[in-house]
Amino acid sequence: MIPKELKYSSEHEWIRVEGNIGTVGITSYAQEQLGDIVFVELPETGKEVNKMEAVAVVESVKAASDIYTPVSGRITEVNEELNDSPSLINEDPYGKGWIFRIELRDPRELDELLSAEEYEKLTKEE
Amino acid sequence: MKRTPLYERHLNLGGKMIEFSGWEMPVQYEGIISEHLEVRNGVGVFDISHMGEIEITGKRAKDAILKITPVHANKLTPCRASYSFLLNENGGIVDDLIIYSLHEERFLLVVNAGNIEKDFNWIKELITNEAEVMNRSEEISAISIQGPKSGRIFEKLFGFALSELKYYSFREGLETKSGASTILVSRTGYTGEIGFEVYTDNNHILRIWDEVIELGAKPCGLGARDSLRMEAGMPLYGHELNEETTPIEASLEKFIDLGRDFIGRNGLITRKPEKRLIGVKLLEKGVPRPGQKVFCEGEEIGYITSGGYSPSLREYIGMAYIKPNIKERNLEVEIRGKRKKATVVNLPFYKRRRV
Repeated sequence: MIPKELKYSSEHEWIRVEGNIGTVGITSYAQEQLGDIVFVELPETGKEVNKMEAVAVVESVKAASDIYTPVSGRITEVNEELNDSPSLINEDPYGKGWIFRIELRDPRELDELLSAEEYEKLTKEE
Repeated sequence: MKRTPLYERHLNLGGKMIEFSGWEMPVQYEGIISEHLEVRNGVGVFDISHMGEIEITGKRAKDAILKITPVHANKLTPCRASYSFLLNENGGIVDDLIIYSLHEERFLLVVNAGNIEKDFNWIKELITNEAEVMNRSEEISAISIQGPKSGRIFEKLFGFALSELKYYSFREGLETKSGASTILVSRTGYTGEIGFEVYTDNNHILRIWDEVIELGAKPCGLGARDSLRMEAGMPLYGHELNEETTPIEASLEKFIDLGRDFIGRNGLITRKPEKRLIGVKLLEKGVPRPGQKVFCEGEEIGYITSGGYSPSLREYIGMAYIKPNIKERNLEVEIRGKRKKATVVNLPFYKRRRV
Protein backbone atom coordinates (compact mmCIF):
# COMPACT_ATOMS: atom_id res chain seq x y z
CA MET A 1 0.00 0.00 0.00
CA ILE A 2 2.65 2.54 1.09
CA PRO A 3 5.71 2.37 -1.20
CA LYS A 4 8.81 1.59 0.84
CA GLU A 5 11.28 3.57 -1.31
CA LEU A 6 9.61 6.97 -0.76
CA LYS A 7 9.86 9.56 2.00
CA TYR A 8 6.73 11.11 3.51
CA SER A 9 5.64 14.32 5.21
CA SER A 10 3.19 14.54 8.09
CA GLU A 11 0.99 16.54 5.68
CA HIS A 12 0.58 13.44 3.47
CA GLU A 13 2.98 14.34 0.65
CA TRP A 14 5.44 11.78 -0.73
CA ILE A 15 8.78 12.47 -2.41
CA ARG A 16 10.84 10.21 -4.67
CA VAL A 17 14.45 11.42 -5.03
CA GLU A 18 16.59 10.67 -8.08
CA GLY A 19 19.96 12.46 -8.04
CA ASN A 20 19.21 16.01 -7.04
CA ILE A 21 15.59 16.02 -8.21
CA GLY A 22 12.59 15.11 -6.08
CA THR A 23 9.19 14.16 -7.52
CA VAL A 24 6.32 15.06 -5.21
CA GLY A 25 2.69 13.93 -4.94
CA ILE A 26 0.09 13.12 -2.32
CA THR A 27 -0.33 9.72 -0.71
CA SER A 28 -3.04 7.20 -1.45
CA TYR A 29 -4.37 7.78 2.05
CA ALA A 30 -4.65 11.52 1.31
CA GLN A 31 -6.47 11.06 -2.00
CA GLU A 32 -8.88 8.68 -0.31
CA GLN A 33 -9.58 11.22 2.43
CA LEU A 34 -10.17 13.95 -0.16
CA GLY A 35 -12.45 11.93 -2.43
CA ASP A 36 -12.89 12.69 -6.14
CA ILE A 37 -10.34 15.29 -7.22
CA VAL A 38 -11.70 17.76 -9.77
CA PHE A 39 -9.02 20.45 -10.09
CA VAL A 40 -5.33 20.95 -9.33
CA GLU A 41 -3.71 24.36 -9.15
CA LEU A 42 -0.10 23.64 -10.09
CA PRO A 43 2.90 25.66 -8.91
CA GLU A 44 4.95 27.84 -11.32
CA THR A 45 8.09 26.29 -12.73
CA GLY A 46 11.26 28.11 -11.78
CA LYS A 47 9.84 29.23 -8.45
CA GLU A 48 12.07 29.02 -5.37
CA VAL A 49 10.16 27.53 -2.45
CA ASN A 50 10.90 26.70 1.17
CA LYS A 51 10.21 23.48 3.00
CA MET A 52 6.55 23.21 4.16
CA GLU A 53 5.46 26.16 2.03
CA ALA A 54 2.03 25.77 0.38
CA VAL A 55 2.87 25.47 -3.33
CA ALA A 56 -0.17 23.83 -4.94
CA VAL A 57 -3.87 23.30 -4.27
CA VAL A 58 -5.85 20.13 -4.80
CA GLU A 59 -9.62 20.62 -5.03
CA SER A 60 -11.92 17.69 -4.38
CA VAL A 61 -15.67 17.78 -4.90
CA LYS A 62 -16.15 18.99 -1.34
CA ALA A 63 -13.09 21.12 -0.46
CA ALA A 64 -9.79 22.71 -1.38
CA SER A 65 -6.56 21.50 0.26
CA ASP A 66 -3.11 23.05 0.21
CA ILE A 67 -0.17 20.92 -0.87
CA TYR A 68 3.08 21.66 0.99
CA THR A 69 6.50 21.01 -0.45
CA PRO A 70 8.35 18.53 1.78
CA VAL A 71 11.74 20.07 0.83
CA SER A 72 13.20 23.46 -0.14
CA GLY A 73 14.39 24.16 -3.66
CA ARG A 74 13.38 25.24 -7.16
CA ILE A 75 10.31 23.88 -8.97
CA THR A 76 11.67 22.38 -12.21
CA GLU A 77 8.59 20.73 -13.69
CA VAL A 78 4.84 20.33 -13.08
CA ASN A 79 2.49 17.56 -14.19
CA GLU A 80 0.54 19.32 -16.97
CA GLU A 81 -1.60 16.20 -17.46
CA LEU A 82 -3.41 17.06 -14.23
CA ASN A 83 -4.92 20.11 -15.96
CA ASP A 84 -7.18 17.88 -18.01
CA SER A 85 -7.18 14.76 -15.82
CA PRO A 86 -7.02 15.75 -12.15
CA SER A 87 -8.47 12.34 -11.27
CA LEU A 88 -5.06 10.79 -12.05
CA ILE A 89 -4.27 11.61 -8.42
CA ASN A 90 -7.13 9.32 -7.33
CA GLU A 91 -6.28 6.62 -9.85
CA ASP A 92 -2.49 6.52 -9.54
CA PRO A 93 -1.29 8.71 -6.65
CA TYR A 94 2.32 7.41 -6.64
CA GLY A 95 2.66 7.29 -10.45
CA LYS A 96 0.80 9.29 -13.08
CA GLY A 97 -0.69 11.47 -10.34
CA TRP A 98 2.62 13.14 -9.39
CA ILE A 99 2.26 16.91 -8.96
CA PHE A 100 5.66 18.63 -9.32
CA ARG A 101 9.42 18.10 -9.49
CA ILE A 102 11.85 20.08 -7.39
CA GLU A 103 15.62 20.60 -7.41
CA LEU A 104 16.72 20.02 -3.84
CA ARG A 105 18.48 22.95 -2.11
CA ASP A 106 19.56 20.90 0.90
CA PRO A 107 19.38 17.08 0.69
CA ARG A 108 19.79 16.90 4.49
CA GLU A 109 16.13 17.99 4.75
CA LEU A 110 15.20 14.47 3.59
CA ASP A 111 16.38 13.09 6.93
CA GLU A 112 13.61 15.00 8.68
CA LEU A 113 10.90 13.26 6.64
CA LEU A 114 9.08 10.05 7.58
CA SER A 115 9.88 6.54 6.41
CA ALA A 116 7.09 4.36 5.00
CA GLU A 117 6.72 2.64 8.40
CA GLU A 118 6.55 5.92 10.29
CA TYR A 119 4.03 7.31 7.84
CA GLU A 120 1.87 4.21 8.08
CA LYS A 121 1.83 4.59 11.85
CA LEU A 122 0.76 8.21 11.47
CA THR A 123 -2.22 7.33 9.28
CA LYS A 124 -3.30 4.64 11.74
CA GLU A 125 -3.37 7.25 14.51
CA GLU A 126 -5.51 9.72 12.54
CA MET B 1 -25.14 13.46 16.72
CA LYS B 2 -28.39 11.94 15.59
CA ARG B 3 -28.55 8.82 13.45
CA THR B 4 -31.27 7.60 11.11
CA PRO B 5 -32.59 4.01 11.32
CA LEU B 6 -30.46 3.28 8.22
CA TYR B 7 -27.16 4.13 9.95
CA GLU B 8 -25.92 0.52 10.12
CA ARG B 9 -26.87 0.00 6.47
CA HIS B 10 -24.72 2.95 5.47
CA LEU B 11 -21.72 1.55 7.36
CA ASN B 12 -22.18 -1.90 5.80
CA LEU B 13 -22.33 -0.34 2.34
CA GLY B 14 -19.04 1.48 2.97
CA GLY B 15 -20.60 4.87 3.57
CA LYS B 16 -18.25 7.66 4.61
CA MET B 17 -20.09 9.35 7.46
CA ILE B 18 -20.01 13.09 8.12
CA GLU B 19 -21.88 15.54 10.32
CA PHE B 20 -24.73 17.31 8.53
CA SER B 21 -27.16 19.59 10.40
CA GLY B 22 -26.59 17.60 13.58
CA TRP B 23 -26.98 14.21 11.85
CA GLU B 24 -24.43 11.55 11.05
CA MET B 25 -25.05 10.96 7.34
CA PRO B 26 -23.19 9.31 4.45
CA VAL B 27 -21.46 11.89 2.24
CA GLN B 28 -20.54 9.12 -0.23
CA TYR B 29 -20.12 5.36 -0.61
CA GLU B 30 -17.93 4.64 -3.66
CA GLY B 31 -17.42 8.20 -4.78
CA ILE B 32 -19.43 11.36 -5.32
CA ILE B 33 -18.93 11.58 -9.08
CA SER B 34 -19.84 7.96 -9.80
CA GLU B 35 -22.94 8.27 -7.61
CA HIS B 36 -23.89 11.51 -9.36
CA LEU B 37 -23.59 9.90 -12.79
CA GLU B 38 -25.54 6.85 -11.64
CA VAL B 39 -28.51 9.10 -10.83
CA ARG B 40 -28.20 10.79 -14.23
CA ASN B 41 -27.99 7.50 -16.15
CA GLY B 42 -29.38 4.74 -13.94
CA VAL B 43 -30.95 4.85 -10.50
CA GLY B 44 -29.73 5.89 -7.08
CA VAL B 45 -31.24 5.85 -3.60
CA PHE B 46 -30.73 8.44 -0.85
CA ASP B 47 -31.53 8.25 2.85
CA ILE B 48 -33.52 11.41 3.59
CA SER B 49 -34.75 10.30 7.03
CA HIS B 50 -32.96 13.25 8.62
CA MET B 51 -35.52 15.62 7.14
CA GLY B 52 -38.32 16.78 9.41
CA GLU B 53 -42.05 16.07 9.23
CA ILE B 54 -44.53 18.39 10.92
CA GLU B 55 -48.20 17.48 10.85
CA ILE B 56 -50.94 20.10 10.98
CA THR B 57 -54.48 18.91 11.67
CA GLY B 58 -57.86 20.35 12.55
CA LYS B 59 -60.97 21.97 11.09
CA ARG B 60 -59.00 25.11 10.27
CA ALA B 61 -55.77 23.41 9.22
CA LYS B 62 -56.02 24.71 5.65
CA ASP B 63 -56.47 28.30 6.83
CA ALA B 64 -53.49 27.80 9.09
CA ILE B 65 -51.34 26.65 6.14
CA LEU B 66 -52.51 29.64 4.09
CA LYS B 67 -51.55 31.93 6.95
CA ILE B 68 -48.00 30.63 7.44
CA THR B 69 -47.03 29.96 3.80
CA PRO B 70 -47.43 31.96 0.55
CA VAL B 71 -48.67 28.88 -1.36
CA HIS B 72 -51.35 29.22 -4.06
CA ALA B 73 -54.57 28.09 -2.35
CA ASN B 74 -55.74 25.98 -5.32
CA LYS B 75 -52.64 23.79 -4.91
CA LEU B 76 -53.80 22.57 -1.51
CA THR B 77 -55.92 19.80 -2.98
CA PRO B 78 -55.74 16.26 -1.62
CA CYS B 79 -52.95 14.05 -3.01
CA ARG B 80 -50.93 17.04 -4.22
CA ALA B 81 -47.60 18.25 -2.95
CA SER B 82 -46.51 21.89 -3.15
CA TYR B 83 -43.15 23.57 -2.76
CA SER B 84 -43.42 26.52 -0.38
CA PHE B 85 -41.79 28.52 2.41
CA LEU B 86 -42.18 29.78 5.92
CA LEU B 87 -41.57 33.53 5.77
CA ASN B 88 -40.83 36.05 8.49
CA GLU B 89 -42.53 39.47 8.62
CA ASN B 90 -39.93 40.93 6.24
CA GLY B 91 -40.48 38.21 3.66
CA GLY B 92 -37.19 36.49 4.58
CA ILE B 93 -37.14 32.70 4.32
CA VAL B 94 -37.38 30.89 7.66
CA ASP B 95 -37.31 27.60 5.74
CA ASP B 96 -38.30 26.06 2.44
CA LEU B 97 -40.55 23.02 2.59
CA ILE B 98 -42.95 20.70 0.84
CA ILE B 99 -46.61 20.69 1.83
CA TYR B 100 -48.36 17.33 1.43
CA SER B 101 -52.13 17.91 1.41
CA LEU B 102 -53.50 14.69 2.89
CA HIS B 103 -57.03 16.14 3.03
CA GLU B 104 -58.73 19.44 3.89
CA GLU B 105 -58.02 19.01 7.57
CA ARG B 106 -54.64 17.29 7.54
CA PHE B 107 -51.30 18.41 6.09
CA LEU B 108 -47.76 17.14 6.39
CA LEU B 109 -44.90 19.62 6.02
CA VAL B 110 -41.50 18.23 5.13
CA VAL B 111 -38.78 20.59 6.35
CA ASN B 112 -34.98 20.79 6.36
CA ALA B 113 -33.14 18.68 8.93
CA GLY B 114 -31.29 21.65 10.40
CA ASN B 115 -34.49 23.66 10.90
CA ILE B 116 -36.86 21.13 12.52
CA GLU B 117 -36.91 22.70 16.00
CA LYS B 118 -36.96 26.25 14.67
CA ASP B 119 -39.82 25.52 12.27
CA PHE B 120 -41.84 23.57 14.80
CA ASN B 121 -41.66 26.38 17.37
CA TRP B 122 -42.32 29.00 14.68
CA ILE B 123 -45.42 27.23 13.40
CA LYS B 124 -46.76 26.40 16.85
CA GLU B 125 -46.47 30.02 17.95
CA LEU B 126 -48.35 31.26 14.89
CA ILE B 127 -51.24 28.80 14.63
CA THR B 128 -51.69 27.33 18.05
CA ASN B 129 -55.30 28.61 18.11
CA GLU B 130 -56.18 27.39 14.60
CA ALA B 131 -54.81 23.86 14.42
CA GLU B 132 -52.93 21.10 16.15
CA VAL B 133 -49.20 21.01 15.35
CA MET B 134 -47.25 17.78 15.82
CA ASN B 135 -43.58 17.13 15.24
CA ARG B 136 -43.46 13.63 13.74
CA SER B 137 -39.82 13.78 12.63
CA GLU B 138 -38.68 11.18 15.16
CA GLU B 139 -41.10 8.50 13.97
CA ILE B 140 -41.04 9.04 10.19
CA SER B 141 -38.19 7.93 7.92
CA ALA B 142 -37.82 8.42 4.20
CA ILE B 143 -35.78 7.45 1.17
CA SER B 144 -35.58 9.06 -2.25
CA ILE B 145 -35.14 6.97 -5.41
CA GLN B 146 -33.91 9.04 -8.34
CA GLY B 147 -32.83 8.49 -11.92
CA PRO B 148 -34.12 7.48 -15.37
CA LYS B 149 -34.41 3.85 -14.26
CA SER B 150 -36.37 4.62 -11.07
CA GLY B 151 -39.65 3.74 -12.83
CA ARG B 152 -38.67 0.07 -13.02
CA ILE B 153 -38.09 -0.05 -9.29
CA PHE B 154 -41.35 1.75 -8.58
CA GLU B 155 -43.29 -0.73 -10.68
CA LYS B 156 -41.67 -3.71 -8.96
CA LEU B 157 -42.37 -2.24 -5.53
CA PHE B 158 -45.96 -1.11 -6.03
CA GLY B 159 -47.26 -2.97 -9.08
CA PHE B 160 -48.24 0.04 -11.18
CA ALA B 161 -46.44 2.52 -13.43
CA LEU B 162 -44.66 5.55 -12.00
CA SER B 163 -46.18 7.58 -14.85
CA GLU B 164 -49.58 7.11 -13.18
CA LEU B 165 -48.28 9.33 -10.41
CA LYS B 166 -48.02 12.93 -11.65
CA TYR B 167 -45.07 15.14 -10.77
CA TYR B 168 -45.76 16.74 -7.35
CA SER B 169 -48.50 14.31 -6.41
CA PHE B 170 -48.53 11.39 -3.98
CA ARG B 171 -50.42 8.31 -2.79
CA GLU B 172 -51.09 7.39 0.79
CA GLY B 173 -50.85 3.98 2.40
CA LEU B 174 -49.36 1.94 -0.46
CA GLU B 175 -47.84 -1.41 0.42
CA THR B 176 -44.72 -2.79 -1.21
CA LYS B 177 -44.73 -6.26 -2.78
CA SER B 178 -42.95 -7.61 0.28
CA GLY B 179 -45.68 -6.26 2.53
CA ALA B 180 -43.91 -3.23 3.98
CA SER B 181 -46.35 -0.40 4.56
CA THR B 182 -45.74 3.21 3.64
CA ILE B 183 -47.16 6.49 4.89
CA LEU B 184 -46.91 8.22 1.55
CA VAL B 185 -45.16 7.79 -1.77
CA SER B 186 -44.59 10.97 -3.74
CA ARG B 187 -42.90 12.36 -6.82
CA THR B 188 -41.04 15.52 -5.94
CA GLY B 189 -37.29 14.99 -6.17
CA TYR B 190 -34.26 17.18 -5.78
CA THR B 191 -32.02 16.02 -8.61
CA GLY B 192 -33.67 17.08 -11.87
CA GLU B 193 -34.37 13.42 -12.71
CA ILE B 194 -37.50 11.29 -12.64
CA GLY B 195 -37.88 9.75 -9.23
CA PHE B 196 -39.99 9.18 -6.15
CA GLU B 197 -39.83 9.31 -2.36
CA VAL B 198 -41.13 6.82 0.15
CA TYR B 199 -42.10 8.02 3.64
CA THR B 200 -42.78 5.36 6.25
CA ASP B 201 -42.34 4.66 9.92
CA ASN B 202 -38.90 3.80 11.26
CA ASN B 203 -39.44 0.05 11.48
CA HIS B 204 -40.50 -0.38 7.85
CA ILE B 205 -37.75 1.73 6.28
CA LEU B 206 -35.05 -0.94 6.53
CA ARG B 207 -37.11 -3.43 4.57
CA ILE B 208 -37.94 -0.93 1.84
CA TRP B 209 -34.32 0.27 1.62
CA ASP B 210 -33.16 -3.36 1.26
CA GLU B 211 -35.78 -4.03 -1.41
CA VAL B 212 -34.71 -0.99 -3.38
CA ILE B 213 -31.01 -1.91 -3.17
CA GLU B 214 -31.86 -5.46 -4.20
CA LEU B 215 -33.74 -4.12 -7.21
CA GLY B 216 -30.54 -2.42 -8.36
CA ALA B 217 -30.56 1.11 -6.95
CA LYS B 218 -27.09 2.34 -6.07
CA PRO B 219 -26.77 3.96 -2.65
CA CYS B 220 -25.89 7.65 -2.98
CA GLY B 221 -24.70 10.11 -0.36
CA LEU B 222 -25.15 13.77 0.43
CA GLY B 223 -22.23 14.75 -1.81
CA ALA B 224 -23.99 13.59 -4.96
CA ARG B 225 -27.28 14.98 -3.68
CA ASP B 226 -25.64 18.39 -3.48
CA SER B 227 -24.00 18.32 -6.92
CA LEU B 228 -27.21 16.99 -8.50
CA ARG B 229 -29.42 19.69 -7.00
CA MET B 230 -26.92 22.34 -8.03
CA GLU B 231 -26.92 21.18 -11.66
CA ALA B 232 -30.73 21.21 -11.50
CA GLY B 233 -30.58 24.84 -10.28
CA MET B 234 -32.36 24.01 -7.06
CA PRO B 235 -31.67 26.11 -3.97
CA LEU B 236 -30.42 24.77 -0.64
CA TYR B 237 -31.31 26.30 2.70
CA GLY B 238 -28.23 27.90 4.24
CA HIS B 239 -26.70 28.50 0.81
CA GLU B 240 -29.18 30.23 -1.52
CA LEU B 241 -31.93 30.63 1.08
CA ASN B 242 -31.86 32.18 4.55
CA GLU B 243 -33.81 34.60 6.76
CA GLU B 244 -32.26 37.65 5.05
CA THR B 245 -33.31 36.47 1.58
CA THR B 246 -36.76 36.61 -0.01
CA PRO B 247 -38.17 34.08 -2.50
CA ILE B 248 -38.28 36.90 -5.05
CA GLU B 249 -34.53 37.45 -4.73
CA ALA B 250 -34.06 33.68 -5.09
CA SER B 251 -36.08 33.74 -8.36
CA LEU B 252 -38.82 31.64 -6.78
CA GLU B 253 -41.72 34.08 -7.17
CA LYS B 254 -43.80 31.56 -9.09
CA PHE B 255 -44.39 29.73 -5.80
CA ILE B 256 -45.91 32.81 -4.17
CA ASP B 257 -49.53 33.98 -4.32
CA LEU B 258 -49.25 37.71 -3.76
CA GLY B 259 -53.01 38.01 -4.45
CA ARG B 260 -53.90 36.99 -0.89
CA ASP B 261 -52.68 37.72 2.60
CA PHE B 262 -50.07 35.60 4.40
CA ILE B 263 -47.30 36.21 6.91
CA GLY B 264 -44.48 37.99 5.12
CA ARG B 265 -46.57 39.41 2.28
CA ASN B 266 -46.17 43.02 3.40
CA GLY B 267 -42.44 42.54 3.63
CA LEU B 268 -42.33 41.12 0.11
CA ILE B 269 -44.38 43.97 -1.33
CA THR B 270 -42.57 46.83 0.37
CA ARG B 271 -39.04 45.47 0.16
CA LYS B 272 -36.90 46.30 -2.83
CA PRO B 273 -34.95 43.22 -3.98
CA GLU B 274 -31.29 43.74 -3.12
CA LYS B 275 -29.95 40.81 -5.11
CA ARG B 276 -30.77 38.31 -7.78
CA LEU B 277 -29.81 34.65 -8.07
CA ILE B 278 -27.88 33.60 -11.17
CA GLY B 279 -26.03 30.61 -12.50
CA VAL B 280 -22.35 31.05 -13.36
CA LYS B 281 -20.05 28.92 -15.45
CA LEU B 282 -16.30 29.40 -15.31
CA LEU B 283 -14.54 30.01 -18.62
CA GLU B 284 -11.18 29.17 -17.05
CA LYS B 285 -10.34 26.22 -14.82
CA GLY B 286 -11.08 26.71 -11.13
CA VAL B 287 -13.66 25.68 -8.60
CA PRO B 288 -16.25 28.21 -7.39
CA ARG B 289 -16.97 27.85 -3.67
CA PRO B 290 -19.51 29.52 -1.38
CA GLY B 291 -18.41 32.97 -0.22
CA GLN B 292 -16.10 33.79 -3.12
CA LYS B 293 -16.58 37.31 -4.52
CA VAL B 294 -18.03 37.98 -7.95
CA PHE B 295 -16.81 40.95 -10.00
CA CYS B 296 -18.06 42.72 -13.11
CA GLU B 297 -15.83 45.20 -14.95
CA GLY B 298 -13.64 45.52 -11.86
CA GLU B 299 -16.51 46.17 -9.46
CA GLU B 300 -17.54 43.71 -6.75
CA ILE B 301 -21.17 42.80 -7.48
CA GLY B 302 -21.93 39.72 -5.42
CA TYR B 303 -20.86 36.33 -4.07
CA ILE B 304 -21.06 32.61 -4.78
CA THR B 305 -23.62 30.64 -2.73
CA SER B 306 -22.96 27.11 -4.07
CA GLY B 307 -20.25 25.91 -6.39
CA GLY B 308 -18.28 23.00 -7.64
CA TYR B 309 -17.58 20.68 -10.49
CA SER B 310 -20.48 19.52 -12.63
CA PRO B 311 -19.93 15.84 -13.45
CA SER B 312 -22.70 15.81 -16.08
CA LEU B 313 -21.48 18.88 -17.98
CA ARG B 314 -17.79 18.55 -17.08
CA GLU B 315 -17.74 22.24 -16.26
CA TYR B 316 -17.05 24.29 -13.14
CA ILE B 317 -20.32 25.90 -12.10
CA GLY B 318 -21.89 27.82 -9.28
CA MET B 319 -24.87 29.82 -8.13
CA ALA B 320 -24.39 33.41 -7.05
CA TYR B 321 -26.24 36.43 -5.79
CA ILE B 322 -25.43 39.62 -7.69
CA LYS B 323 -26.82 43.15 -7.66
CA PRO B 324 -30.24 43.09 -9.36
CA ASN B 325 -29.41 45.74 -11.97
CA ILE B 326 -26.40 43.97 -13.51
CA LYS B 327 -27.19 42.87 -17.06
CA GLU B 328 -23.63 42.17 -18.22
CA ARG B 329 -23.06 38.42 -18.69
CA ASN B 330 -19.26 38.44 -18.50
CA LEU B 331 -18.15 38.24 -14.88
CA GLU B 332 -15.17 37.20 -12.82
CA VAL B 333 -15.02 34.97 -9.75
CA GLU B 334 -12.19 35.59 -7.30
CA ILE B 335 -10.62 32.27 -6.31
CA ARG B 336 -7.69 32.47 -3.87
CA GLY B 337 -6.84 36.00 -4.95
CA LYS B 338 -7.04 35.30 -8.70
CA ARG B 339 -9.95 36.54 -10.77
CA LYS B 340 -11.18 33.87 -13.15
CA LYS B 341 -13.36 34.62 -16.16
CA ALA B 342 -16.94 33.42 -15.89
CA THR B 343 -20.23 33.87 -17.66
CA VAL B 344 -23.85 34.05 -16.54
CA VAL B 345 -25.88 31.00 -17.58
CA ASN B 346 -29.58 30.38 -17.27
CA LEU B 347 -30.69 27.98 -14.56
CA PRO B 348 -30.99 25.02 -14.54
CA PHE B 349 -27.51 24.07 -15.75
CA TYR B 350 -28.75 20.60 -16.54
CA LYS B 351 -32.07 19.57 -18.11
CA ARG B 352 -33.14 15.97 -18.37
CA ARG B 353 -33.54 14.66 -21.92
CA ARG B 354 -37.28 14.32 -22.45
CA VAL B 355 -37.95 10.97 -24.07
